[in-house]
Amino acid sequence: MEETLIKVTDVKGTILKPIEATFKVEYKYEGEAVAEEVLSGDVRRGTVKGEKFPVPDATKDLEYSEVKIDVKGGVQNLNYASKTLKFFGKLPPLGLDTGLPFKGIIPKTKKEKQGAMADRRETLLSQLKEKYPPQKTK
Amino acid sequence: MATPNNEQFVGFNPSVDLTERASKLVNSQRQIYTYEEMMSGAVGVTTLEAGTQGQTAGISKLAATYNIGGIEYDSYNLKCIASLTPEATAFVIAIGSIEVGAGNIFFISNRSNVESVDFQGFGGYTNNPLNFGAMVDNALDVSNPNLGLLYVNQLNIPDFPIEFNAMYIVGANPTNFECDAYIDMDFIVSKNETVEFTIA
Repeated sequence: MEETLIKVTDVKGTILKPIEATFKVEYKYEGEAVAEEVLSGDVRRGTVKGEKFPVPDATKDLEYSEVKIDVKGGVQNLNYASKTLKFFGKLPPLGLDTGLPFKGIIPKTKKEKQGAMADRRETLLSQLKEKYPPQKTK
Repeated sequence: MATPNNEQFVGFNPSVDLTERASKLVNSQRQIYTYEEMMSGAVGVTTLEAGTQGQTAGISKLAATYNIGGIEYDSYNLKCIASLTPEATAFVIAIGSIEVGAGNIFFISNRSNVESVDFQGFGGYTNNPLNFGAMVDNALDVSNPNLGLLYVNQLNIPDFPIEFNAMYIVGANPTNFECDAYIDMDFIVSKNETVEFTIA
């Protein structure tokens, strides 16, 4: 059955559904120089789904497992920092909350909030006008 | 009928456990609403504030709570009245922002209405759920179905925290149109989280 392996959240536990990010899960075994990538891909709607985290090699001792969330750049993406979480001697817990730190602006004034909403309004209206060109009023 | 006050309606102190005939439930196992709570849940008492685009909007807390898979939620209602005028092919009306202390918001109900005039068509006004295909009018006072876009947009502004939800009415049509929009939507947030509305 498909489970939510990773929830890409902010520090308050809110799922960052619209975020554009990639993820990577690595296992590092005792005595080995580098960690082995066992899972990777795009974060979709703030989550990573799958049956379970891959089973570690039973013939080796797991030193740690690591989950890396890499937030893509771009002005349209949510402004959160990438993060790496390490779990010594064990796999990441199912449904892991990543708690990405926020890097953007916390709006404090009504004017600031209204300004941001108005900017987005203008952008969306321009996009609509390209698809639905203005007509002369009869 | 005179409006009962809360005590008259409930009839007893909800902190006292009482059993009723043919029931093993006591009050502490029931959800007891005051008269005020019941009425606000039924009709959604909302104070609408005037905004910068001629819209009026506001939110109110509803009496209903939800337990979804073990997670408890409070419910709120968003209302907005706006005119999409003068006629044009595209409109974006900023309603306002809904900021929650933590967690995602989920819109669980949408009763929004679009009203247009059809004086030179079949007469009177048209009223349809706000959606693609709703009747919208034009400068000739004739209503026709919207053939473009008509929806309420919930948007997270990239530079702001995810808990900031900007709300917009979006409308577009291949030909000029106009209408009035009456937004009436319920949403749920994690129980006891703060919820703040800022008019756009």
